[in-house]
Amino acid sequence: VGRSLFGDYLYAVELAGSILLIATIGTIALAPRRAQGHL
Amino acid sequence: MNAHLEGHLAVGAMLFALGAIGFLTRRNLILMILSAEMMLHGVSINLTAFGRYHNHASGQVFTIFVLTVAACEAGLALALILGLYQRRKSLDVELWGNLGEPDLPRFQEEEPESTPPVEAAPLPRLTPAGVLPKPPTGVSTKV
Repeated sequence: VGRSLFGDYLYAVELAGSILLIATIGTIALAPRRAQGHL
Repeated sequence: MNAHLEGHLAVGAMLFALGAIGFLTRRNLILMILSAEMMLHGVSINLTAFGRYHNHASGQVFTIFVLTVAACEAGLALALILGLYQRRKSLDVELWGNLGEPDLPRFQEEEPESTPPVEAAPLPRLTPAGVLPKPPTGVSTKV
């Protein structure tokens, strides 16, 4: 599985990692601001 | 080992069906995205089952990608739910029903009664006969 992941599907893996990064940034940007201490 | 393909497919189909039923029936936002995740994982169980059946690793590889997308989706959905909750102070999706098309009829939770309830025929009454029984002693009689 590992050889297949990092051999045939290397570009897909890179793309998935990029998607994860973009989703993390988007989530942090999208999450509503809250005052310190309460929801 | 290939004899278990039907079992794996059955488990995957069961997860997908339960997720679909839950997504269509729940009104809580968090339970709805949980049901969507259940559908996703039913599909990935199908992928791994067929990957093993064909002795090929691409099923598991694709499952890893599905997990990646599911993680992104869960994070985004939780952020959106937090925003929606702060708007309405509730997780009920029914409160967001006004986002639909205004010219379409809204889904009615309870069907309005098309016909008025039929008046029940008056029951036959017997004419009282005989002696009125005495009220029990010691008990305050109320008519």
